[in-house]
Amino acid sequence: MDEAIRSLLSQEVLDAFRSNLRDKRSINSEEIPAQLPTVSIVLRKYFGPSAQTIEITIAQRLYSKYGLEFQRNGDYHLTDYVENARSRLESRGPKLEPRNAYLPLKDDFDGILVESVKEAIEEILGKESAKAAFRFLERDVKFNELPRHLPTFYSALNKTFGKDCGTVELAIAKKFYLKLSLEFTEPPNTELSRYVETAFIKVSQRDQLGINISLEGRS
Amino acid sequence: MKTLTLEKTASDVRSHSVDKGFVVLLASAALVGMLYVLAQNNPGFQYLLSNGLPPILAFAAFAMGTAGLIRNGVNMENRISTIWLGYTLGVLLWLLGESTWAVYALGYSNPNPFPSLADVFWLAGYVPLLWAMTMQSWPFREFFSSRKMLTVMSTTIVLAGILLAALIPPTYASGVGQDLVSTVLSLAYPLLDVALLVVALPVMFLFGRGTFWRPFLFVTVGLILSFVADILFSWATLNGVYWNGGYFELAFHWSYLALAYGFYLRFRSGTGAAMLG
Repeated sequence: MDEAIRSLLSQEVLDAFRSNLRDKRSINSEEIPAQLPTVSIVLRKYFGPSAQTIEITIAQRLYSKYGLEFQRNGDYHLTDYVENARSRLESRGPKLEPRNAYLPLKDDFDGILVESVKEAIEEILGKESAKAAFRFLERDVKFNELPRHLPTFYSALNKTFGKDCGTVELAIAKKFYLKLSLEFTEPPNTELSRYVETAFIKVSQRDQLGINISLEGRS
Repeated sequence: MKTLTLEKTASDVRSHSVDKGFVVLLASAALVGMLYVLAQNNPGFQYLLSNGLPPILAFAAFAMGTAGLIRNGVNMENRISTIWLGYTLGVLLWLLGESTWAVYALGYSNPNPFPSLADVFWLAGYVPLLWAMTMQSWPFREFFSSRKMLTVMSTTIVLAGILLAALIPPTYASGVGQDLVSTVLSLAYPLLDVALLVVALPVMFLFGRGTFWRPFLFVTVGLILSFVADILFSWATLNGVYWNGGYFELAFHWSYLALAYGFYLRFRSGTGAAMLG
């Protein structure tokens, strides 16, 4: 869902949609799979007829990740596409696993990093204080440029959080690894750019080896 | 298929309460209409209203658009942000067109400054507006291949063809004998208006519902009203029934009010997402 909304609209729209789900429907990211009918209604409420395109894009990406052939059905909602995928996967074998690893493209990688930064800071400071911190951080580097300016962002984090900078970096790194379905075994007190670099290498290696991973645990 | 239902939350209930901005929009539209009624027997006031009001309303729309850009920032890598930048630039060019026209009409007592610098600004305004609308609908282009949308688009194209067939020959004929610039400018308006209609009508169907699109909807309504106004203006001019301060002009004014309200909704909702409700 994240990728679909981000690619069709923007990261800001995705953030706003997710905070709407969280604040007004009490649906957190990890609860989305269990709340698909509600998510589908909220998508239609917010995006009107264009929600159909968003749902189809979500389904297309989901099917692609699980190596399933996608066929459009005008009567289908997101829930129906997901149920259809689930039953096809169940008939294929006992395990509901994607055929290949989730292999983020460069664009996805950047988006996931920005998302991790925002979510980690929000979790540490709370939503309102996080907004103030975002404004402060963005004076040095805009979030959309963050992946390409990690050293600058590191200094901005340092300026903003002082001696607590390490805790924030660790929280960001853990969130980032979780979203990439990577096991977090990195030593603490490492710079954010180092965590990101290591994650990039690990994902690239996983890509080359074609290791199957489960999407469980990804938000 | 499952029937999907969702309980209303308190925020849903609140979102259905009357929007003060919308009340201001309706009141302003009614006020402009009333001013036109009052001005009908006063040629001096009619002339002032006809030429002085458009730059004021265009400025209101541009000011709201700029406020939205300042509040939410401009980021060329963010699709939504660039779309709003396009709409605001288009309205800025139309504001410059209206202001230039007003200077000629009120400052130099030239009631019909055509062709003039005002036309350059007006015609240039179509470019960012059409670009923004295309950018807005491009990610959803697959939707346009649905049967319903193909019907809408075929109807729009037929309608556009009829309009061009009705407007282009007499416009060209009336331009014969004039200089080349006047003829080209006279033809450019209906052509660009039709291009605006061909894009705007399907966009209105696609983004007509959904709280996220509400600000965009009013901008599209504003542009469609502007199209209606232009067509009425062309028709009235060709038939010799146009005069400064006539009711035909109301569509122009209401289009700026709709644009201003769309920009206001974007400003109010904050963030590039414009998520309401």
